[in-house]
Amino acid sequence: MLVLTALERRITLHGFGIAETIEQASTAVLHVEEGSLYPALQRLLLKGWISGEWSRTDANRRARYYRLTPAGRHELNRQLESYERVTGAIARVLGMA
Amino acid sequence: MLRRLWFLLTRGRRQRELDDEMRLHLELRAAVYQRDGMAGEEAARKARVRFGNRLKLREESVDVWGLAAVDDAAGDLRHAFRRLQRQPGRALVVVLTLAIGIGATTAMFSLIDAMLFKPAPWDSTGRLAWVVGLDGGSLSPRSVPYPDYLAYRDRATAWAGLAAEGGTAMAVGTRDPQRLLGGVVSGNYFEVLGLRAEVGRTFTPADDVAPGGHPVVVLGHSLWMGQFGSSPRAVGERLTINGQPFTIIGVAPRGFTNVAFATDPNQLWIPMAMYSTLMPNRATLNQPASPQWPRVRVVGRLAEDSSIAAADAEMRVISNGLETAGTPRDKQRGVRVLSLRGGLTPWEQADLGPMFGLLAIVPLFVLFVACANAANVLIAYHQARRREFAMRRAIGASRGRLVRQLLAESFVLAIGAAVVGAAAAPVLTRLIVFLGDVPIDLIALLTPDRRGLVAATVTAVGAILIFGLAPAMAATRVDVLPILKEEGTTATGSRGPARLRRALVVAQVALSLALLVIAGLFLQSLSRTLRVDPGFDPRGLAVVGVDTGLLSYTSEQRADFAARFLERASGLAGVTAVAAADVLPLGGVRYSATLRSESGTSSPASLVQASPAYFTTLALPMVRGRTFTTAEAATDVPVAIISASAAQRLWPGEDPLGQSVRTDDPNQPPRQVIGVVRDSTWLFLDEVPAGTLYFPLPPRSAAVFAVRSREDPAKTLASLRDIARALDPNVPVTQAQTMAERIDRSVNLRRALVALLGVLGAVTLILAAIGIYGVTAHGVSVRTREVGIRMALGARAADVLRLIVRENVRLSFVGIAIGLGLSTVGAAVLSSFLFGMTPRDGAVFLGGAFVLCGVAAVASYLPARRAASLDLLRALRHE
Repeated sequence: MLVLTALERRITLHGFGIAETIEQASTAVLHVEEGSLYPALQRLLLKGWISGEWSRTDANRRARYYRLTPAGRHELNRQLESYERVTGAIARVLGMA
Repeated sequence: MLRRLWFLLTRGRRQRELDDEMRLHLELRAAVYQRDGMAGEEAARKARVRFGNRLKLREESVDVWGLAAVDDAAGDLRHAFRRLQRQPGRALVVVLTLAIGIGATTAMFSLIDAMLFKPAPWDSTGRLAWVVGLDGGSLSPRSVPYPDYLAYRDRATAWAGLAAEGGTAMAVGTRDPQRLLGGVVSGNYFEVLGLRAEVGRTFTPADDVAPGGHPVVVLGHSLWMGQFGSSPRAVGERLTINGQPFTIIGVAPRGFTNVAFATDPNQLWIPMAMYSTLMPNRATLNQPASPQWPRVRVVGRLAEDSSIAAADAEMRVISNGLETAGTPRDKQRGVRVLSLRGGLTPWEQADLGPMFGLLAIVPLFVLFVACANAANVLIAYHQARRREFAMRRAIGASRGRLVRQLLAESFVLAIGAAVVGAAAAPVLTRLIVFLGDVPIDLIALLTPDRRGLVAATVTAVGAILIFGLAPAMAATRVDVLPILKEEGTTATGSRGPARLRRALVVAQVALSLALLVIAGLFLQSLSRTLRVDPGFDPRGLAVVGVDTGLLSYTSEQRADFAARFLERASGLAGVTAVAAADVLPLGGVRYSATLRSESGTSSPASLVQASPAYFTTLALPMVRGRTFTTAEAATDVPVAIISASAAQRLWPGEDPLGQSVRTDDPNQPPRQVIGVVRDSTWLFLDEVPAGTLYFPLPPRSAAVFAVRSREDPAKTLASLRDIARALDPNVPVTQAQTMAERIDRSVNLRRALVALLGVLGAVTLILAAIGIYGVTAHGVSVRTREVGIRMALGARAADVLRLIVRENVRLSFVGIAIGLGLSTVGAAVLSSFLFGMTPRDGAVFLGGAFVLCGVAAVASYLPARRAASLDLLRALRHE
């Protein structure tokens, strides 16, 4: 979901970019091995939620840029919704709402 | 799913791309660190630390594609090949056993497929459909009169074209003409079917307008090859048919003989409009009332925007309109539109459907028993590898992994068996057709096609599940520790596989018993059928058909021919009676009608035109009244003789003599009953006689002669043929059989079924015997040490023998009990095919059980004797 969110914000990104975005957004609270991003990307590609395209970076390096597919956007909305339901429920239980 | 496959297929490139991406990531991260002031080396190291284990992550990413499963499967298959190569004998036994099952199943599939489902070999569009008349709610071959066809053709909009075909025997050639089956077809016939001429042209609608106007003929491919040596110059030549000159205009494409491609193969075709020229003595096309006139079959090509359902609806409406039109014809009860599939006509398919259902199940029995045998072999083999499995489980292989590997071996075996089986299937199909003695176009039927291949593959996969999965599951259900601790191995073996093997033996015994009993029931039904009293005495009867209707004789010439033939035949040595008729019993032909009395009662009946001596010649007893006089026959006085059951239905409790009876043919006058005869069977021996109405035979209509002789009727036949030749060498002798031969032929389908069931039953029995033998032999070898100990403790050879045989006998009894239950169910389901039989026909069931007991005893005695004759010391030292 984090990857999808990152892509939603920035349209297209390569792997390193996604890692950076997630780290910045979470202000380094979520700290995982950066490499585990790649199996996750393969899973998303396989499910058809993101698509990848090779092009050049600013420094003229070949890199694969990922973008959200319509199916992926749909999935993201679904996940956000269910996430909001869950967090909303937790908040109500904790009496914060 | 597709995307996964795509990922797998492009996995080489994808792996390189992934590597590139990861490398880029590391470089970028290192660059960030360097910007923060770290040294190059240190930055790269920290980047790697932060990234994690690159190799492992790479593996994980690749695994996402499902690559592991594929690599494993390939490895399993390679492994399986190596294992099987090490024991080629065992692999061969399993492959051959399975091949029998797969071959039998595939052969039966091709046959049933060809008969019921396969599109015709010359039809690639699938838009052809039958228009079939209904008679009393069921599909009828004879209920589309030609004028109705014309109405359908002209009014229906659902069709791109609607064609008609009829068929008849034709005398082709001048001297000693050949009798060939020919199609009589509408002018658009070939065009509607989408058939192009091989040479020359086919008919056009213009050939089928003026009656007698276009004496043209299209040759069948085989006739063209046989008589004209495939010469293109045949086109334009003359061909004499029924004494009339025709011109050859073309040759039909190879492989086409009939719309229903597995039935009567036509050798030539003439236009409908030539029918009256060809058959001057028969009813004309537009005079459809006579029951003797064979109706046309109607076949059409659906219009582009139409469908079967739309065509059906439209045809019903048109047909209802025809009924109220009041034209004199048989009562027409609507039509149905059915898509053209399979080599049989729809009405044949409806009749034979249940029989094909039975035939489809039988090879599955064989397949299952074969699978059980294969499973037995595998179980024995797996058992010997139990230590290996336990070891592998102990060092971390999952059970699923082991099962997959064993299944890979089964897979290789099954594929081998499918190849052998599929190769053998056409031979088996040929055998079935040969046993069936039915005129089937073999080329159309046996061309190996994708459907047969698919069938073989599906069967093989099913076989893997039956024979591979269960043993693999049983073999891998191992307790690791006890097996690994066992020093010398063996002992009694684990219980799971042993129980499975016993279950398989029970199933084999049960299935082969069921098959044997059913084959036995059919055999008994056949012999009972042959003992049926047909009502007349078939002994000493010879039948000769001489169709003068195929010649351009006048009525007087035909009557003269019949009279001279009868006179000469009665002069033969030993001949006691001769008679003529238009049709005789048990020849496969019947003219049926509905009889009505004046009081409104009705009865179904066959119509027969018979000469006065018919009843004495067939020895069909006269119950009351008298037979026709010669004068009545000559002038066709409206009198009739009726069979007892029809008389009973029409005039219950009254004297039938002097009563008046009508057929449903409005052109026929009411007839006065002058005699009552015993019922006789007409089409099949085992039918319930429908009743028969006999008219006096006008001498010109004589088509079949019956001759009763004290001599061997086969000898009489030869003399009768000579008489026909002497009278006119051009006359085609359409049939020459003894009545016994006719009876034989009338049961040929039944006999074929018995032969088929018998062969398959025997195969199953042999497989089951091998199975029992194998299980016992393996059991003995596993128990060698036990036997040794028993003998050391004083058991005699006979005791050992009893010990081992007893267990098998117990298993066989269980199997026999289940088998008897199965056959009872089977017999109940099939009771409509079994003639004159209570479904529980004790003797057959008992006999089957007895045979299986014997087989089981012998199959277990042989290995048991080996155990009993073991050398004591060797047995104890075993392993």
